[in-house]
Amino acid sequence: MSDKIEHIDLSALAELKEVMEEEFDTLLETFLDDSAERVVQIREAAKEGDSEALSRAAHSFKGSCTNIGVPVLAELCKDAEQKGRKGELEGIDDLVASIDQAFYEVTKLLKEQLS
Amino acid sequence: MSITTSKSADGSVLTIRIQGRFDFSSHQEFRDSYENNDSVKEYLIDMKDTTYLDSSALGMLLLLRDFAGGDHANVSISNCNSDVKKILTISNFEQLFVIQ
Amino acid sequence: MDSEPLKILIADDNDSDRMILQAIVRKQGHEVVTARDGVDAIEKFKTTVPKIVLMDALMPRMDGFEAARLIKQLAGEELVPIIFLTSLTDAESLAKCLDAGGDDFLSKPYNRIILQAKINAFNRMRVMHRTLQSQRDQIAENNDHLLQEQQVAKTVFDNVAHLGCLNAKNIKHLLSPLSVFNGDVLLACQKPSGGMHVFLGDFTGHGLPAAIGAMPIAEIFYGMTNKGFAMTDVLREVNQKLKQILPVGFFCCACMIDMSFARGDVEVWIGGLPEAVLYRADGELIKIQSNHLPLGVLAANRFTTETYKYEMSPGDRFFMWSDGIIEARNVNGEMFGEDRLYQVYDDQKISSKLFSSIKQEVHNFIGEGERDDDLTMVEVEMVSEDEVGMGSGGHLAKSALIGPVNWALCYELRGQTLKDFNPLPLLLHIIMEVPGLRLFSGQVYTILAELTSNALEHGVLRLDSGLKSSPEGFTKYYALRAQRLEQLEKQWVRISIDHLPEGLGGLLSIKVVDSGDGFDYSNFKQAKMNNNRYSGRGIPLLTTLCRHFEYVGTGNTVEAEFAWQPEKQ
Repeated sequence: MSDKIEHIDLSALAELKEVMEEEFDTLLETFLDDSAERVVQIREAAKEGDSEALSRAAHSFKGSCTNIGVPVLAELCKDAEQKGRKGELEGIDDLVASIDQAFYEVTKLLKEQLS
Repeated sequence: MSITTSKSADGSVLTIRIQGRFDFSSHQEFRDSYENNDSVKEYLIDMKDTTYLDSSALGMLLLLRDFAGGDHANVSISNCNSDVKKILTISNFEQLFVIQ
Repeated sequence: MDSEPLKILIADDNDSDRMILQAIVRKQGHEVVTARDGVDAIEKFKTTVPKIVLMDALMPRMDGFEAARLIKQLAGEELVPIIFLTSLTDAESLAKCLDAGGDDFLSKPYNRIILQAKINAFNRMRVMHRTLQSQRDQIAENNDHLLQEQQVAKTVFDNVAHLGCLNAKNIKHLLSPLSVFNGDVLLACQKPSGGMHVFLGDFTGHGLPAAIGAMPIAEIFYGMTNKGFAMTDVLREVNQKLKQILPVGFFCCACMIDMSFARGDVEVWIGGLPEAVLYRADGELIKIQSNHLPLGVLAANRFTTETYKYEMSPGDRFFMWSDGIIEARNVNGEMFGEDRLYQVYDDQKISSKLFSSIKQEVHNFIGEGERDDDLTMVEVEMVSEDEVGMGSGGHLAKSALIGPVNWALCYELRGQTLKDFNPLPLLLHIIMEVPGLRLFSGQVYTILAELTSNALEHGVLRLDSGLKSSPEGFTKYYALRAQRLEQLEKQWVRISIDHLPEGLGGLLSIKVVDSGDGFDYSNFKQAKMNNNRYSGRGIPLLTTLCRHFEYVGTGNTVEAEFAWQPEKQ
């Protein structure tokens, strides 16, 4: 169960629910749609060895992950952003795989939150 | 600049001591020093520590004289240094005040 | 909630982030405008004019830094706080936000409470900025207004207290252009008799109260001097007026002189100003100390008009100044002082350069010190009569009215009235009702003045004009004059004046009789121009001015005729 707690921050989500009220579902859906796009961007950038594009996509993804309250994914994005910024792309494939995996988990968990 | 006052035991003589420059900035303080003193019959301005006096100070002295009864006022000025005395002399204030 | 509803622009390319922020800000009661990138943000800023901007740093098309820079430019003087939304944490990136004109940061995840506090704080700052700005504008506007009013006031003042004859060849003066507001007054006017009155005054205080007092002084000074009143009469009137209108504690330190070029002398009244200086062509320096209270202090019945009298030769100079000269301060706060002033007299051997030397020394002394707008100084040089360039009364007001031209009067003064009352202004006033005669007021005044003072001083008081041939005698003459005036009882002087039209002009006949014993005038027709300037009855002068002039009877009666024709156009 500890996995779940790491992947999504329930108290942050509760707070968001309070703020967003009836728009909460739309927010989560928007986040998931955007994130799917970001994951693709990150994957493409890693494949092409475009470290700048990688860092930009990861930075932006990190921000929204932080806001929604998905800390594991945010942390992975941060690693990717740093690698991209430093231009050190060794082991990037493993990191992209971790992001894919984490996004899969997050998607599953967030969908459970939808009403 | 500071103004301090003291009164004789019977309250009839008010001594006003002026320290430093006596100019327009002292206007309010100087007025406050003698107004609301009904029992006073005689005013002593002690200028021992007065370093300078400008024309608005002369004006303030005239105001005090007026307050104290105009031509019947009993106001004396004492212990002036030479600069201060010179200004009083140029203006011929000895015609209006007892200058000691 | 202490914040009014505000329009807030949120610029963020990330949809979910923007949604969250928009929801938070709306919940706090504000109106939200959103933009998806920098270009969009600029557009929305222009069209919706938000009060506060929340701006993501990294956005496509135009990033937040560039957008912030442009928004600050567009806002101009208005304070539009920009809060950067950022997950950037390195110091360099944060500094970049500030450089671009950002005012603060908000990091992700957004904290509602912090965001609200920041919006409120920046709104307070924005309102304060706006208040300051409007107060600044108000002050600037008031200041403009005040300057404009001062300009008008100065124009009015300049019209009343015009420079008179301060530009005469024998006068040098220094007067700040804004002297009206520092309370300094400098006036000069030719007398109908050709002499000159010069007045230097220094009011207590600065600004409007000081300026206001100067107006009646100028009115009285020019009005009375033009009409031929004596200096002491002018001073008495000025003192009374000031005493009447100024609040207690406000007064005017002053020095006034009456310089006679015909007699070669000067009369000085000084009250409250630093000592004036008579500097002779031969290098003798006479200091003239204030012996009166300033004007506007004493009631009319206590006001005194004792004056100093000095004979003066051409090239002698009279100096007066306000205390601004002596109290001028240098950067160290030291005063220029009298010692430095008199040093200039020692150092400058060419007396025509004294005035500019004093001015220069004071300026040098002040250096970078306080501004020297308080310096007022005047030099009046004794010159020969024809050098003054008498305006023949041209400065007197002309009237278009055709006045009385056919009339006679007799005016007799007796006893103490002879001492206390100067009939000349009154008589001149009546005579000048003949409009054509106004152009000759100088000559007429001179004739009347000579005849009446001869009658009084030589006839009634039996003073010997020979006394005036030496400086010591000069003093003695005036002492005796004062003494004998006190003893007047039954003596009298009778002045008869007659005016008849003659051709296009007229004939003014003046007959003066006194109660004295008369004198032997048998030699007087042979009298030539007397080289001695102090003595005589001004007879050569009178002979020149009058068509007919003679003593009759025992010599206590004199008859003079002044014929005039209008000047050619």
